[in-house]
Parts: sequence; structure tokens; C-alpha cells
Amino acid sequence: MKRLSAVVAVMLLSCTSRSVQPVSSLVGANDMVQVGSLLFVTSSERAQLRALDLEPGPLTSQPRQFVPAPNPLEPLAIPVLARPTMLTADVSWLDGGVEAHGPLVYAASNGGSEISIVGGGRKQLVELMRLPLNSPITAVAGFYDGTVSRLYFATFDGALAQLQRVTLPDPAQLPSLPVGSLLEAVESIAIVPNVVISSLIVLPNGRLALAERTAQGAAGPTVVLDLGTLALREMHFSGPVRSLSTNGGSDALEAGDRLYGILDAELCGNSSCAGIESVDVATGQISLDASGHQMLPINVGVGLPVSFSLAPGARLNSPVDGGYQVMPRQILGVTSVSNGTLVYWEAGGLLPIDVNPDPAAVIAGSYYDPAGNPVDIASTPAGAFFADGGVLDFSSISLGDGAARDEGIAVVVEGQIPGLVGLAFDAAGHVSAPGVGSRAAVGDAAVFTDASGVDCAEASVLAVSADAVEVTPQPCGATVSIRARGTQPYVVTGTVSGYFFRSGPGQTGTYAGTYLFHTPSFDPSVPQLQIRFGDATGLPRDSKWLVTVDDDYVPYVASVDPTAAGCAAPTTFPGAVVADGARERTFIAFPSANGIIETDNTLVLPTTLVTSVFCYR
Amino acid sequence: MKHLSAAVAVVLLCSCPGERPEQPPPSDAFYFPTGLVHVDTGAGEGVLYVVSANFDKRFDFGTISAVNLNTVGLPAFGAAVAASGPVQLTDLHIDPTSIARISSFGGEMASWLQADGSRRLFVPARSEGQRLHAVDALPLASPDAVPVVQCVPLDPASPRDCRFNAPSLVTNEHASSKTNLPRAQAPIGVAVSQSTGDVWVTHATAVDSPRGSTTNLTAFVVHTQANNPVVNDDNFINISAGASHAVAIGSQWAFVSGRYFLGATYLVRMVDPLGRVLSPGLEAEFHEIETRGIALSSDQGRLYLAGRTPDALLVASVNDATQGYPTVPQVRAIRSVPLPEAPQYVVTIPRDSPKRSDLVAITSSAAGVLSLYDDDVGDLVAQVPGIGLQPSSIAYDLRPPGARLFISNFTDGQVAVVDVPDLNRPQAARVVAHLGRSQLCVTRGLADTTCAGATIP
Repeated sequence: MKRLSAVVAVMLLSCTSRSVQPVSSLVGANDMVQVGSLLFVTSSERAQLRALDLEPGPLTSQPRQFVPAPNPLEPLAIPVLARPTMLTADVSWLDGGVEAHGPLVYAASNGGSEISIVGGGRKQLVELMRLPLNSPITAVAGFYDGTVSRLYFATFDGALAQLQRVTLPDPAQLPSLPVGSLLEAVESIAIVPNVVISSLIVLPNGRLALAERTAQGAAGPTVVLDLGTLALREMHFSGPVRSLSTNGGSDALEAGDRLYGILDAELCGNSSCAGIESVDVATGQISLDASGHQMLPINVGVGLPVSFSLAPGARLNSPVDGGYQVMPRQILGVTSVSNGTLVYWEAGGLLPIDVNPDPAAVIAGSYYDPAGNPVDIASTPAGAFFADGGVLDFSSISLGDGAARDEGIAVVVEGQIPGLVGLAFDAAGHVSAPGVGSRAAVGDAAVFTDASGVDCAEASVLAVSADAVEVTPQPCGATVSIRARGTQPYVVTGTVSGYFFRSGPGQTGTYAGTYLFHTPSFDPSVPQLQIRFGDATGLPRDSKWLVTVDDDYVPYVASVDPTAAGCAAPTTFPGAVVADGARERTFIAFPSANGIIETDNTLVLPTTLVTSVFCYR
Repeated sequence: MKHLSAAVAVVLLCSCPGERPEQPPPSDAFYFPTGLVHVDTGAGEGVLYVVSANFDKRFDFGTISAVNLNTVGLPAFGAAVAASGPVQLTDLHIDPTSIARISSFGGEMASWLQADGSRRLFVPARSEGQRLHAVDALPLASPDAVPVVQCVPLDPASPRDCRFNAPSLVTNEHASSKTNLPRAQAPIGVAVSQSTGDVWVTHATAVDSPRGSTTNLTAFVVHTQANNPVVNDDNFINISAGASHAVAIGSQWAFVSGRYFLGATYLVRMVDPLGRVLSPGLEAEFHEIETRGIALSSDQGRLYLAGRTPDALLVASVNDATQGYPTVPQVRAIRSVPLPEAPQYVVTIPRDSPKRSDLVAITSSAAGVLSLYDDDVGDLVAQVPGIGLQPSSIAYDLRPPGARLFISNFTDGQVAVVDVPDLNRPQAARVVAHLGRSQLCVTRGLADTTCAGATIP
């Protein structure tokens, strides 16, 4: 029995040794690009590329392997320029608009002035030539027309951006070609002062898309250049773009119909405006989403989009009727985010995937007396508490789904008007209130407060304008605050949105607001908040309703389980992402883990850790 | 047996200290250089002050050495580099009066210009005593004169031995108090406000309470005044869990980076002189493990952080940094840029055009690279190789439209000199010289290839 065990053990060991995945030892997995069934990844600190072989394997039977070196125990290292951090490949379009790749991969380093031209085919995984340039490279793109490859690149010398191209010979001839002769073949397409070209992609039909950066990223147009006529068409993104992509062909879209871009956070100075947006290349206008209206940027929450990938027709474990079902998306969008998450979205319909089917709703509310004590329904003044025919009812509050925020809403009787509290006044009773003066109305109460904070007098508002309020001056006060009175004594505010409006008995208050996302049934005429007040009157000053609103918005966000990944290093900060619809997988480079994580799109569940993963390092 | 033990003890106690000669570090070289300060003397190259950390404690103490750069033979600013490579300048002409003795394991260095034209230098040190050293660098009598340094407080009997009178940041380490707090273990970063004289010191290791319990871990920043750099319990500001590394000073707030702490690192915290501590929550946007170097732009509108795991430059916008409390600066993520391995130190270099943002210089210690980031471009614009082994601190000498940068190499013991002839075209940056001789033949032995013909001290 012992001998049998030993034999079995030896067999197991030998089997294991055959299937051992070579340790690649990536150091600096900053960028990836897929060429057919090879996924190229940088190993920046080793000045190398590695190629993960995406064949043959189903995830469950055998982990994938990096393409082996001639000594098959070692992964193949492709030496390239120092610290490669940018990868791109020749792009091509087959009949039917299917995006394909040519024979070459290009590597560059941020801040570097060289481009490594690398063979992308399995039989030519080697640097074929290194192209030295005079200025730092800011963007690279490649195009393969079925016969030859054309390399497009942008440089910035500190004052001028230069867009250049070079037509490359057959890859087999590149190693023997003198670098000088290739440099002589470089053509300048455009020179632009005081602009940085931050992203380049090739579109079908001889067009090139360029994202420009000026004013430290707060501005900069995106344009499409017709390489034949050199005609420019501006793409009207809602802000400057720092990374571009386009769509492959699908049932609904021709390849290159749309231009997708990550908006630069510089526009507003924070990540809230760093979503992903699409424009229609034909018109340059922001694309219409599935609701039939101009899309809103697909935001990723707290954090910055790092990279995104589009996979036409890819299947995803999607929310359906309160459950989940693996179903194809028109175009699956996957965005890696600097907060460690992955955001899945519908890039065909240009909508986020809202996991919660419920619309925004009021989920709680109470009525309080002027002292702040909650008032029992039984003791509430007649009609005051959520009773039909009274002042306020749950059903009298309507919310715009996609515009309503998670917040508390206060309705205060004769409440202080935000922006008109604690203001100085002059001897004539003039109160400067830039931009908010018109929130007041003639007849409102002007409450004067002395230096110790005690209310000492009350007068009336005599006149209002956009930037000022005129009141009857009082000798006692140090400051004046305006309280709503008259026909509109209710002041409505939100803890997130701020001042909504003022209203009164028998009236309907409306706050148009701003939509954060669209639903398929988005109707622009629906405001963020609308409240219809009942006819009852006579409630005392400072009595109030406090209402809690839930936006019921749960975007499709997932995170990789660091322990399941087995990367032995933090999977906290993702880099480049590649969604492979054919394989139903998403590959994410994690420079924080020096590895590539593979996830199964059919097993992903939003708001949970993704555990069905493999790590390749 | 008891008698024998007693005799041995007596022999040990009585004979050893007297027999061991003092072992000062080399006076004509740097030894594990860390902090740097460059002082523009108004004529020529200026003076470079260099902290030698004596990291392997081969010698008895660390130093601050002053090098008059007019006397070492630096190449002309912007000159082309010879085919043989950067000039190796090993004769530093360091006079004994140009060397101040400080504790080993000195960290960053900051300087404060005094009314009499002298510079007060501050260096925290992480060896025994965990002290904050202050040294005055006296004005040069002439461009080629010997730079003279002296301790603060000054002991006329030993004006350049600053090891013992510098305030300790761990006086509560062995105090009878139950908490052993406050204390700042492993002080490493320092910055001084030229306008207010506020001195801020960070420490890299969280402290436990009681000491040795590994419980109640917390951290502090030390705040004192440049004109009177005393430290007592009132000078400690508790910044809660998670130690810090470096500090950048704005007009109202000091911004400190954050070392890794049990997966709950604060990437940046803001502290004001009244002891208010705020976290802008940047870690919710950037899932970095920790941050090292930190720098604030000249207009206080940008914060740059050297992020670790992954290695990246984190760029954040800062709103309202010039307003005092109760206005709270908003620090929000703008972008991250991959950096060479192990980014360590960050400094902003102002450009002479008001239309151009600061150039940002970053050392990457494992990669041996100096990176230059241009916020106008939104990316790195140069990576300068060949700096040396484990580059750490950076000092610069503005030479409009360019700048000369000095980078201390912790492992090889040299200071690299990098010329950027035009800050608006930083891709032309190159190493033009190395100051000091390599210490590798000392630290690695005669087998090292740099040691041909050398002897080990």
C-alpha cells in the first residue's frame, strides 16, 4: 500500500510539474493591449513586455500561461525601451466592422522619447526596432490596412505639439532597416502650439481622433482628422478628454460610429466630472442614450476612471426581475477605478447598469413642533401630518429618478431662507445678498439679531432684487435674517442639494435640479423634486417636516477579492482593463500587485467581491 | 565563580571605553547622504549642505557637511556632458568648521533664512534619542570662503558637536507616566515656513502606549518655532493612527503624507499650528498603500504625493488652502501617473513664466531615476537615468530659465548634479556631475568594482 501511495505521489508530482505556470515576475504591470489571443503587458521596471496566452483555456480547467521562452520553464521576456508604461497595437477593421489587429505592438514610456516597435505575432515576439525621437511622446496609435502598418505619434517639446506618422515596412524587414532611414520616412501631419495631444486613436475610413489638452487640462478640444483631406471636425465632449476609444461593429452600430472618452477631472477640479462620455463621430454631438436623450457621463463614484474597455455583445451576469441572469449586453463597458473597483456599464445604450430596479423614493418622514419635538399623529394639528387634504403627504412628493439624491429634505414653516441669514445691513436698510436676493419676497420677515445672538426686532422686507434685499432698519440688530412669510411661508432645503424653493398652502413647489444619470424612461420634464402642498394654514413658525429620500441607485460595481486572486500583493489599484467578450472574461492589470487578474463576466455579482479570479504574475 | 564574574565586569567597565578611539565619519566625503539644502549665496554656485546618515553606524555619528560649490570644479551650468560621462568631483574641500556632528540616521533637512542672513538648518534623526537637530549655517565671508556651521543651542566649548543638546522627541519613552506619550518615534521629515517660522516634523513609526505594549498605536507631528526650536509635550499634535513621512507647508496648513498602517492609511492629513487635524479622505479615491514624499505647488492649488503600491505620482487639487480655519481645504483626486520603482521624494520647482505650472521632480529610490512631471502636460516629461544608487532627497538652484538639481544617493554616497537648462523643456535634463566619492568600497568591501586601489577606513 505504501508503494502504491508513493507511485501515486510521484505521478501527481510529475503532473503538477507539467502544469506549473511559469513565474513571470512582472514588475510594473502598468498597461496591456490585446492582439488576437495574446495579451501583452508591460513589466516596466524590467524594461520588458510579456505576453499572456489566452488560448487554449477555459478558466476552470487550467490557468493560462505566459508565452514561454525557448527554455519553456521561463516566460518569454521581450526586451524593449526603458520603463514601458504605454502600449498600443495596430488596429484594423475586418468586413462587418469587426475590430482586428495588425502585426505590430508599440511601447512607449511616459516622459520618454522612444517607441519600441514589437512583433505582435506568435512567431515574432521580439522588439523589431526602437525609434528615437526628439521630444517626449504623449500619445501613440497604430493602423494596419491589411498590407502595411502606419504608426501615428504625438510629441510635445515644451511649446509645440507635433503629430507625425510613419509607414512601416514589412515587419520581417524592420530589424535590418537602419533607424536613420525610418526616421527620414517620418512625416509631420500637424504642429500645434501650446497644446498637448494626450490621446490618439485611429478610426475607420482614414480618420484619426485626437484629444488635446490646454490650460492644465481644464480645456482642450477633441477633434477628428480626415487623413486624406486634413479636414478637422470638432467632437463636442462636455469637457477635455484624457483617453479615447471607439466602438467595434455591432448590430446597432458601425465600427467607429462613436468616440468614447474619459473626461478630465481638471474641468471641475475633482472626480465628479471625470466620467466616460460618447460623441457621434458623424455629427460631433454627444450621443443619444437608450432614453433617446443626450447621454450623461457614466460616473464611477468616488475615484477616477483609470482605463475602460468595450466589448460588443459580451455577456454579463445582469440584474433581471430582482435576480441575476447571464445575458448579452449591446456593448459591455468595463471601467477600472482608482478606488480599486470595476464599474460595468452599458456602452451601447450609454447608461449605467442600475442594480436596484426601484425608482428614487421617500422612505421616511416626520413632523416636528417649533421646539424640535416629534409630533404624534394623534396630537398633530388637524391635517398637518401626512394626511390627505392636509399640508404634506408622502404621495404629494414626487422625485426625478436619476436626479434625486440620497438626502434629507426639510420643509420649515416661516423658515430662514438660505443665503439670507446673518447678513449685515446699512443705515438705509440695504442688505447685500449677491445672487440670492430674489429668494426673498416683499412682506417676508426681517429678523434682527444683536451681537449676543438674541433676536431683538422684527420688520418687513420692503423690496427685493437679484442681489439685495431692502428692509426697514432697526436700531438694535447687528445682523438681519430673512424668514419666509406671506403666501409662501414654507422653505424647502436638502442636506445635499441645498436650497430648493419656497412655497405655500395650495401651491406646488418645483426644483428642476440636475440629473446624475438617466434611466431608460428618463423624461426631462420631470424635475428633481416637486411638492404639492395642501390647503391647511396656520402652522407655527419653525414647525417642520423632515423627509428622507433614497435615490435607490446602485450602480454595477465590483471589486476583486485579494485573497481569492492569490496575487500575494494588494489588488487595490487597478490599471489597464481589457474586456474580452468572446472569452467572457475581463483582464485587469494591477500595478499594485504586479499582476494581471482575470475575472469571469458571467460570475460577477455587483457590490460583492469577485472571487472567481486568476492572477498571473 | 562570583569573584571571577565580578572581576570580568570590572575589567569591561573600566577598560573598554577608554581604549576605543573615536571613529568620525570621513570629513571629505558623504556617508549615506540623505537631506540636502542648497543656499544661493548670490555669487557663483552657492553652498550645498548635506546630511550624512551613517546608516550602518560604521562611524560614531552622522554629520551635516557644507560644501562650497565654487571650489569643487562643477561644470558650467548647461554645458554639454563629455563623452566620458558626468564629471566625478571627489575633492570636496570640506573644512572641519564646515561639519556639524549630529546623531546617526539623519533624515530630511529644511532651512530657514534668519534676519542676519544666516540659515538655520533642521534635521530629524532616527537613532538614539530621536532628536531634532538645529544648526546655523553662517553667511559666507566671500564667494570662495569656507562655510561655517555651528550648533543650536550653541555650546562654545564644542560649537559643532550637536549630538547632545538637541531636543529629543521621545523623552516620554521611559517616563513614569502610564502612557509614555507623546513621543515621535523615527522622526524623518521636516519643513519650515519661511514666513511664520513654523517647523513641522514627521515620524515614520506609529507609537504604542504604554511603550512596548503594541497597543493604542497613534502618531504625532511635532510643531515648534524656528527661532526657538524647543520641544516639550505641548509641541506634539496627535494625528491619530498611522504615522507620516514627509510634510509640505502652505500658508495656513501643513500637509503630511501617510505611512502604511494596518490597511487604514491616511494618504494625507492637514494640520494647523493650533493643533487642528483634518483628513480630506483622499484614500477613498486613491487606493494606494501609503505615500512618501509630498509637495505643494507654489499657488497652493496642487498637491503632489509619491504613492507606493502602486508606484505613482498622485496629483490632487486643493481648494481654499490659503484660507484659515474654519475654511477647510478640499483635497480631491485629479490624476495618477505611473512612476519608476519606489518613489521617495517630491519637490516643486517654480518656473519663471506665470503661465506655466511648477515643474515637479521626484526621485525613485529603487529605480535610480529622477522623474520630472509637468502639470501642463499632465504627465511625466522626462526620466533621468544614471542618478546613482537609491536617490533620496532633492535640492535645487534656480538658474532661470533653468535649474541645477542636487540629488543625494543614499547607497553609493554621492550627490548627483542634474542640469535642466530650460524648465520649459525639461526633456533636456541630464546628469552633469557626481559630488563625493562612492562609498561602495566601504559598505560593500574591496570586491566592489568601484574600489580599485582604495582602502577601507
